[in-house]
Amino acid sequence: MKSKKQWLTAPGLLVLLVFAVAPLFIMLYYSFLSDSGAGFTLDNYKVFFQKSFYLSLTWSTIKNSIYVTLISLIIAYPLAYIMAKKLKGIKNIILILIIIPFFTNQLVRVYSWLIFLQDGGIFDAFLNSVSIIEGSLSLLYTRKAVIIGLVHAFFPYMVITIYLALEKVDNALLEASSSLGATKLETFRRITLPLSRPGILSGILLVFVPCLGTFVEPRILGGVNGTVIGTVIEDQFFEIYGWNFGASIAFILLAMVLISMNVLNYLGREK
Amino acid sequence: MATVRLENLTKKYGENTVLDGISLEIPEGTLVSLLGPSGCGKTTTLRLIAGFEQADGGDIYIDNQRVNDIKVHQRNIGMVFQSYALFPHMTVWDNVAYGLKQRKLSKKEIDSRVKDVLKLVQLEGYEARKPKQLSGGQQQRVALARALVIQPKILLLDESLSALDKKLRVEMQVELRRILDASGITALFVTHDQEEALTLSDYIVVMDRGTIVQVGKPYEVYEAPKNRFVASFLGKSNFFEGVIKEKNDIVIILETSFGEMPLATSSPREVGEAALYSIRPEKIKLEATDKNSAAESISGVVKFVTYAGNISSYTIDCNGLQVIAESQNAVGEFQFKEGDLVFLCWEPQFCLLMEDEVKK
Repeated sequence: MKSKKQWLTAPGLLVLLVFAVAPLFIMLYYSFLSDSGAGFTLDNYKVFFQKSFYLSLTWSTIKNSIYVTLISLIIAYPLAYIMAKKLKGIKNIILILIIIPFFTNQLVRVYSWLIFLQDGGIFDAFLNSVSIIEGSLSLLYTRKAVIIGLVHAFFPYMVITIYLALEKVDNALLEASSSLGATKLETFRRITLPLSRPGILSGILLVFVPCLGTFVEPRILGGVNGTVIGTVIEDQFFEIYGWNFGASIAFILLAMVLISMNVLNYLGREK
Repeated sequence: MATVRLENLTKKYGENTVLDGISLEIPEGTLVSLLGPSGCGKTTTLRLIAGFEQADGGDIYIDNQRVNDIKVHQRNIGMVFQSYALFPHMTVWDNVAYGLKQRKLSKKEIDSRVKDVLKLVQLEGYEARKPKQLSGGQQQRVALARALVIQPKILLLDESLSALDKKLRVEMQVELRRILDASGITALFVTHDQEEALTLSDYIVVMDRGTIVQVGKPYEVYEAPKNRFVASFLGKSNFFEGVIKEKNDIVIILETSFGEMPLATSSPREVGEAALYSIRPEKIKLEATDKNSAAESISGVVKFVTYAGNISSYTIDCNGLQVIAESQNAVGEFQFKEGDLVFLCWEPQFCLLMEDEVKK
C-alpha cells in the first residue's frame, strides 16, 4: 500500500524536475560557457569579482535589503503585537488590509507608487497642502523610492510571521511573569520578545531573501539610481544578451541567498 | 503569610454579573478551596486577588492593606496556573529564579533560595531541564516552586492539579499538602473537583452563580450541607420534598408527590409547612425487615445494583421515587439483588432539612 501511495508524488516531482531543476542546471551550464564559444571557463565568475562596480553593486543591494528588512521589522512588530495581544474583533479586518498587497498585481502596485511619489504627485501635493514642505521631495527615481516600494511589497510577510509567533504566546505566561514581580517592560523583554524570535527570524528571511533578487521595484521606482543585482541580471538577459555572464551573476545571487538562509537558520536554532 | 479579606467584591462583564458582592475572610496559614461548577466565579475571585482583573465594586485586603489599586507586579502574590505557565524558553532553574531576579537579589541569595525550594519540591538534579522535558507532575512542582520561592504573602492555585491523571493527582495532593504545611503559607485553591477540595483544604468555600453558598471545614460542609445545591454538588444526596403532615421528635410524615413518606428526622418545621430533606447514600442502611423501632421506615424495591469495587450502590424504587443507597463491600458479596424488597433505615441526625424555599 505504502509504495503505491508514494507514486502519487510522481507528478509533482516530474513538474519540479522539468520546470525547476532542469532549467537550473541549464543555467549553471551557461554560467561556465565562454562568450567566444571556446568551451568551459571560469571567466564569467572572475569578471564579477574583479570589477569593483559589481562588488559595490552587491554591497548596495545587500544594504537595500537590510534597510527594507529593518524598516519592515520596525513597522511590523508593534502592529503584529497589538493585533495578537490587544485587539479582538477588528484584527481580522486589519489582517485582510495587510494581505491585500499580496492580491494586487505587482505592476499595479508599483505604478501606483510611481504616481504617488512623482514630482508634484499625490504625496507632494498632500505635504504641500498641510504646509509640511514646499515644492517637491523629489522622491521618485531615488533609492528611497525603491525602499518604500519594497517595504510595501514585503512587510506583510513580516507582520504575519510575527503575528503568528505572538499569537502562540500564552497570555498566562505574561500573567505569570507579572505575578512574579516583572513590570510590563521586563515581561516584554524577557518573555514576549524571546518567544516571538522564531517569527522575527522567519519574517527577516521572507523579506530579506526576495529583496536581494528583486528587480521590478528598483527598475520602475529607482530608475538609474535603482540599479541592483536583480536589474543587472535582467539587463544581461534581455538587453545585452549576455546569457553566460547573467547566469553567473544569478548563481552568485543564489549563493548569497543560501548563505543568508543558513545564517538565519543558525541564529534561529534551538539553544 | 497573611490574611486575606474580601468585602462585597463584585465583578461584571458587560451585563453579566460574574461576582455578586462576595465577602470572605481567609485566616493566616490556612488552605482554603473555592469549589463550584464552571461559571460560578471562583476563578474570577482568584484573578481579582492576583490583580489580573479589576473589581467593579468592593475591596480586597491583604494583611489589612487594601490592594485594589496595587499593580500585579507589586502585590507579592504567588500564582500557580492551570496550564502551569512555565516559561518554555528557560530552564527549570531560570524559571524558578525569575521572580528573584526581578527582585534584584544577589546571585548568592538567588542560588541558595532556588536550591532550597527545589529541594522542597524534590526536583534536585532537574535544574538544567527545559519544561517540555518534564512530566506533568514535575512541571506542576516547578510551577509551585517558582511561586513559593518569592515568599509571597499568599499563594493562589488555579485548578492546578486538574491536568494530571487521577493517580498522579492524588499523589500530588498529598505532596502539595506537605509542601504547603512545610512553608506555612496562606493558600487559596480553585477547584471543581469535590474530592480534591475535601482532602486538601482546611476550609471549603462553595460558590454558585457569583455568590458564596456555604463556608466551612470539609466535614462540616459535607455532613451538613445547607441546601440542595451544596448537598448535590459536594457528594451525592437523596432528596425528599413535600409538606409535613405529622411529626414527633424523631420522625415526620412527609406528603410528597410520590405519596406519604415517613422520614426519621427531627425537624424544626411545623405541620403544614413545606420542606426539603436530604440524606447521603452511605447513611442509608438497607434491611430486609424493618429495624426502625420508633416508626415504620420507607420501603422500596431494588431496581439496580452497581458494583464499584469498594462499595456497592443500590438504586431503590420507593413508590416512584428513586433513592440511592451505598454500602461497603465488607463481606465480599451483595447484600441484596434486583427485585428484593428492602427497608431504608438511618439515624435521625443524618436526615437534614435544606434551606431551600419549597413550594407547597
